[in-house]
Amino acid sequence: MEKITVALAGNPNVGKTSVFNRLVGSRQRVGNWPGVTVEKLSGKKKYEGYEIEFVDLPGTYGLAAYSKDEIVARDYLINEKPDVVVHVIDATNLKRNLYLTTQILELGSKVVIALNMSDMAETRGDKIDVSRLSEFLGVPVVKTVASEDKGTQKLLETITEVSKTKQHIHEISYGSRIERKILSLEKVLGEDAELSKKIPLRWLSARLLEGDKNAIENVASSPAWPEVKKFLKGIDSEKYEAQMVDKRYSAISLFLPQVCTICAGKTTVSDMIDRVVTNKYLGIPIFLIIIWAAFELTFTLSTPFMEIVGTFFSDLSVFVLDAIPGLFGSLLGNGIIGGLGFVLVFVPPIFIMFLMLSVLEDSGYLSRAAFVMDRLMYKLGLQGKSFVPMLMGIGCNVPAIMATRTIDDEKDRFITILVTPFISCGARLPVFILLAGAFFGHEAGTVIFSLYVLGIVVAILSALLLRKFVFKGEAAPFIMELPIYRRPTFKTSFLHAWNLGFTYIKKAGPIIVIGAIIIWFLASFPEGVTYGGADSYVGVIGQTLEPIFAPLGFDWKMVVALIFGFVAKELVISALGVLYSNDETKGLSLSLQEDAAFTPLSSLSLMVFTLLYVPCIATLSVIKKETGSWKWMAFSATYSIGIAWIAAFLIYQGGLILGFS
Amino acid sequence: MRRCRHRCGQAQGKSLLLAPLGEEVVILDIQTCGGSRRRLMDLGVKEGLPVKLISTQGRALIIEINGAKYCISKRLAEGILIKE
Repeated sequence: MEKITVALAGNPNVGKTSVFNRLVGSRQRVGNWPGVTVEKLSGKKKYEGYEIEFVDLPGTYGLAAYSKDEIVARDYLINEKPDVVVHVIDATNLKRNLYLTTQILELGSKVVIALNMSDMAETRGDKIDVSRLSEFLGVPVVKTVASEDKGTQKLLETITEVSKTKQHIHEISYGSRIERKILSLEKVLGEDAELSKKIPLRWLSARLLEGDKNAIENVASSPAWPEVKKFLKGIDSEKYEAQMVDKRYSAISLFLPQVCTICAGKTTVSDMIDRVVTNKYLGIPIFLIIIWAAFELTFTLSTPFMEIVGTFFSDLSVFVLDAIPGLFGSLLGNGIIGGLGFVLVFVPPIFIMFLMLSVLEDSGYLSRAAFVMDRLMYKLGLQGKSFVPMLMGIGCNVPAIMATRTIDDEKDRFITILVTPFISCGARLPVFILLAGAFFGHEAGTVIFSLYVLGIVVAILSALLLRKFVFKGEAAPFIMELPIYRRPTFKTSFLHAWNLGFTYIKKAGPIIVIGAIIIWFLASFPEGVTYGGADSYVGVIGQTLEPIFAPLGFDWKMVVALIFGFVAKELVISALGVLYSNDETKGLSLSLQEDAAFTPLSSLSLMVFTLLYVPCIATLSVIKKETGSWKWMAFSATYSIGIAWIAAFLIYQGGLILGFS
Repeated sequence: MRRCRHRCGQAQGKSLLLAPLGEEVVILDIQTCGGSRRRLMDLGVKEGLPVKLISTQGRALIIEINGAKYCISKRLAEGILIKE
């Protein structure tokens, strides 16, 4: 079986991952905003005697990469030399997309163009002559609509055909003056035989003239470097760069009218929506209403499902405790089933919240939210682009921190990484739902919404502090594409939410079971103590640390729950369940209401502490990975504990002073 | 205004920031430097190209170039000159 490697490259948000999913049969995350894919993904497919490895690359506008995700794409195309490059193009924006095509063709790759979103172009009235486009570019062009699985088969056929053809370099003429320089540089570089095997010398020469840092790095270790350095001395690279970009666009502009009639220009639905949602005065209120409505709906719609799941686990726990007496029955009924039940009861609201988030993402609104929030972000020392990863943190902080790779400026990226954990993730939601539901009745949705707002406020205030004292300087200028609005399909949004929800269960499941067993053990021993009582191990641990947390209104049981929450926030619920739910038939919510230590004020203080203190271990490890530093990971942990303590203290003590209980 | 070394003092137009909302104007010059300049050029922003200012908000604005919309910071936009 012949093996071929196929890279999927293209501009951000053109549907590369959707094409990848169709080709491989996978369910990788897709979304309607630039920067969904920040690292390369791979998947295999057996087809007509070929074993094809597809590599989905992050989006890039050109091969002079700036952000981390773009560098991944550029390095792969240049260094790994895939057998075929499928360049996925947004048919509604041919000119800009073909700019990257000219660069990929210069690399000498075997290229297939996937003209994606061709349905949207047709709906708009654009007429694209595919065969003429193919003729001009000298490579096959296949129309695709990845969201509807159209053109996938034809694309596979074309890929295998192209893999058998000879490589050819498509050259753009940059004009006699630049061409002479390129030729001279090629000669100098040609002295290094190794280099000419690695990279096409014409391409490398052009990049050197443009002052491309990566190209210079590639040549810096070559024996030809001293001569190249001498050659480049005195060359105004910005001038060359501008002229070469201009030539590429000119080449595209020359043939484009012959292959495509663009009918864009009239006011579209996207334009009309933008006039409202990005309005100077309406933008922020609309954003807040949308987010508030999402939380209200999450809470209202999920309540009946939560009751069903809760009753099921509660009945099962009682049944097991009755059927299996002794220590093993207690482990199974109280520990595992009880612990799982306390957490799984929150799967319905988490799923519904993910569904809301998916709809917002798939519609294309997310990038507009970044624009709307830019004023605030800028005042606090960040760029609007940082808001997208922060908003993604509502689902899970781990991919949100990874999404910061789309931010070009290193200082902006670090600040965003360090403040994103303050954005409340899906795992914190169960704690809020439990406590807000138990102590704030009909106001629960508003309380939860306020907690999310508090998380955002703390994140941006922290950004301000970090900008002022640690990462000094101004926020970098940014540019971000705003995707066309698309009506989210139920299937796509549902699948997206399902994947997120399933990942949550998969991630949380084993942690909860192990955590629940540990909590059960610490609550049941030394032998003879009351389950979860003050004399048990958990009681001793909690009481030792209680004085530190007493000013926040926490008793030792709450302290124990927070300690377990350090591993994963879901365990806060498991621990509360073990420590407070003495009667399986009563339900945890009622047990908390009946406990003297729990008041609306102390529960609010507990929710605020849970919102702001140390993110889970998974988030800490991704902070270490993305910053490449233990120092920043430790900073994130200690800083967040400090902030959480201060915020909870202010709320509890302030509330007492104001006469709340 | 940030300007390229070799283009200092050559400005003849007004900044894109001052363009009327919703009307198409023509780019005269790009005077930003380094990575930002390259990013704009990769997107096809160049002299002679029509550009439309769609919306402004705080330190960012939305422009339309070649039928696509981009959110860009005002610091970048002030380096894009348009014909008076």
